[in-house]
Amino acid sequence: MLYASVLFPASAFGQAVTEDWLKSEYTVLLAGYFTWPEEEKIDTFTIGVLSSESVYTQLSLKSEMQEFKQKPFRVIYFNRPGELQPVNILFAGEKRNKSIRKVYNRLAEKPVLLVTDSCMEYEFTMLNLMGMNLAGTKPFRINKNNIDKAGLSVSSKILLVGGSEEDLRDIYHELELEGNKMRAELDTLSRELEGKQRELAESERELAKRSNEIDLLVREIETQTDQLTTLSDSIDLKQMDLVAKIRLLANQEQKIKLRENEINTLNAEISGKEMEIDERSRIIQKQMDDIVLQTAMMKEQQKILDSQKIQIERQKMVLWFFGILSVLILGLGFVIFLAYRIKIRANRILREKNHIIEDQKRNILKQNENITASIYYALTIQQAILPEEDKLKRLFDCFIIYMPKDIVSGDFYWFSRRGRKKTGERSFCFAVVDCTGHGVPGGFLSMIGSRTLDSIVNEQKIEQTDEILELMDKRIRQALNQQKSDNEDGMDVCLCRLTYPGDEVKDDTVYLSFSGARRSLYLIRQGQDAEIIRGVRRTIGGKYFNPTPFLKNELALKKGDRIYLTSDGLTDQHSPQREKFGTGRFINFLNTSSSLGMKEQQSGLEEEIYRFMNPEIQRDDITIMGIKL
Amino acid sequence: MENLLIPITEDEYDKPFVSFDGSTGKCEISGESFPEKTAEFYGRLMEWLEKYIREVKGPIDFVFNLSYFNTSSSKRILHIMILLQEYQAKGGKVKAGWNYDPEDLDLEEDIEDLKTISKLDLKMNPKGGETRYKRLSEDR
Repeated sequence: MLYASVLFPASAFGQAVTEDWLKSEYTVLLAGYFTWPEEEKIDTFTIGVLSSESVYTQLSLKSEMQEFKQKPFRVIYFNRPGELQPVNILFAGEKRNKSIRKVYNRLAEKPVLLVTDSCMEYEFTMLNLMGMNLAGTKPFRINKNNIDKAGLSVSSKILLVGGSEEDLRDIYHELELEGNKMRAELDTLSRELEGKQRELAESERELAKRSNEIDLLVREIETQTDQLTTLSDSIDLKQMDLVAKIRLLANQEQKIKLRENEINTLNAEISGKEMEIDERSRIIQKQMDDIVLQTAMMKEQQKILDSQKIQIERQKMVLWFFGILSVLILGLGFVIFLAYRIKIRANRILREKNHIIEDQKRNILKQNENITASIYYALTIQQAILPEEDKLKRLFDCFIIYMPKDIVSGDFYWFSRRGRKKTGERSFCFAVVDCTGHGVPGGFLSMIGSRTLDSIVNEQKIEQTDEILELMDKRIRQALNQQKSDNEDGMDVCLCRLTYPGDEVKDDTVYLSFSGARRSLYLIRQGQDAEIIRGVRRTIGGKYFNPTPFLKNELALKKGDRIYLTSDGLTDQHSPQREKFGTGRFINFLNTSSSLGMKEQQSGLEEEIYRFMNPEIQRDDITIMGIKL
Repeated sequence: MENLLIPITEDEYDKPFVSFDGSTGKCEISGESFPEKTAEFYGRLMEWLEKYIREVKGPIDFVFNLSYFNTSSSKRILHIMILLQEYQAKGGKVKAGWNYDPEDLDLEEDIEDLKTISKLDLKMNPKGGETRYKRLSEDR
């Protein structure tokens, strides 16, 4: 009651100061010293009252009229602990003191401030109001531990009043620490102060020193001023000296002026004399000019003289030149005259020589004519030994293309009638022979060849073509004495024998027997393509004996088939484009012209040769004999 | 030994191009050969070759590049080939080859004949296309 009256001086609004009213007042008042977690978020505080209707009534009335922590609050009544709901403050009535543990446990660690009324179970209280019944020293007791556990905090102010001894000790400890801190601060400050005081003492000492120094300086100045005064006295003395000296100087000046006047008069005399000198020098100058003029004139005359000298020299040179020139001309004239003489003589000689040459030319031409004539004569002899074309043409439908490269040919063609048997069988031999070389030497060989064939076939009556060639080879070698002599000449031979069977054979068969010495036989059967039968690679005659035997090729042809005997002149012929006529082209020609008659075929072939060759020269003798069986 | 060089000229179309090198022994005859005086022409070649074999005794690399030769020339060429063969038999280093157009069967046969008779180890080299002599001749 005591405290109550102290703490609540004016029982406000005339309320009856009942115990319960006090309790409610205490609750609200003391609760204000507590702080809830996140208190600022609480709009309306809630105070719960458990099992105390009167306190509830009081608090309800309070809630309508006052605020808690400047916020409105409401009050809720609970009958039993089971009904408890979350509130900020819970006032537990006296009735519940015995079972306060249950209540406490329900609130365990929730931010609820438990206010109890004289509860003896101290460990389960937070804010325990005491002042009513007990004559205790404190009006309330605070259990800081439980308050902390609930997450609430309490102001140290009321701890001082209502806290436990521990709490008080803590507060005291805090205060001690603060005190210590402040003492420490004080110490540092006092130390600073001491330091500053020392500094001050220092500065005072310095000041004293400085004032001493200044005193010294002052004394110095005094001595110096004394010195100055003495100096100024001496200066005055000196000034008086100076004045005296100036007076002396003035005297001397006057003397100098006098002397100057003397000098001036002398100067005048001098200038007079100078004018005389000028006159004289003018005269001299004039004379010198005259001299200069005269020397110039002399120089001029000298120059004229020099140029005249040069002219004379030049004229001399010209004279010399012309002199030499005329000499040269004379000499030249003489030389020309001589040359002319020589020329005349040379001309005469030339003319003579010309005559001689003309004679010689005539001689040579004549000789040429003679030689050519003799060659032509030789040609007639060659022609004579060749088979008559007419005779052949009477016996066979055939053509002979015989184109010597020069006049006389190294090729020849040969024919022999082998007679008629009783059976009616007729045989003929044909040959085209290509001797080494062309022209006269070839012609000679052709003679020998033709004779040899005549001898072998007509006289010795050898019938088989291979034997004929074999024997021909031997004979030619003998004839030319080729074992011993240097002669290497030979012949390539295309030799055929045609046998027309006797009357008992009713068909058109014609037997062909062919042997070739480095020549082939071309044949074209009626209605077929042209064929080649190759001869043996062995020549007739020549330096090296080739033991290869001449072969005899025997074929059965038909009347109307054609055979062609050639020398190599045609196939070896080159065109202007350096192309050889060649076997292929000949074969082609035979195939394409196979339907022509022999005469037309001849013209065709001659034209082909000409077209191919022109304007290239003929390389070798060309001989082609075509026979239609 | 001095070289032997016979170039082809406008007038001398019937003679082949000849180049014999006296220091390396490389010899070449190219072109066509149907001169009137084969003995005279080929005589020079034989003389040179005989001198080379006698005095220099060096290797010979002979290339025939003839596309046509008449009968007289063939005899002279045969002489050359026999000379080469004899030199090889006596121990001389001889290489011989003939470049020819394989389309020209007659030429091929003629070359083979020469090879057979001379018994020279002659390499037959068929070729396609232009040869040097042909170009030279086209210039005229």
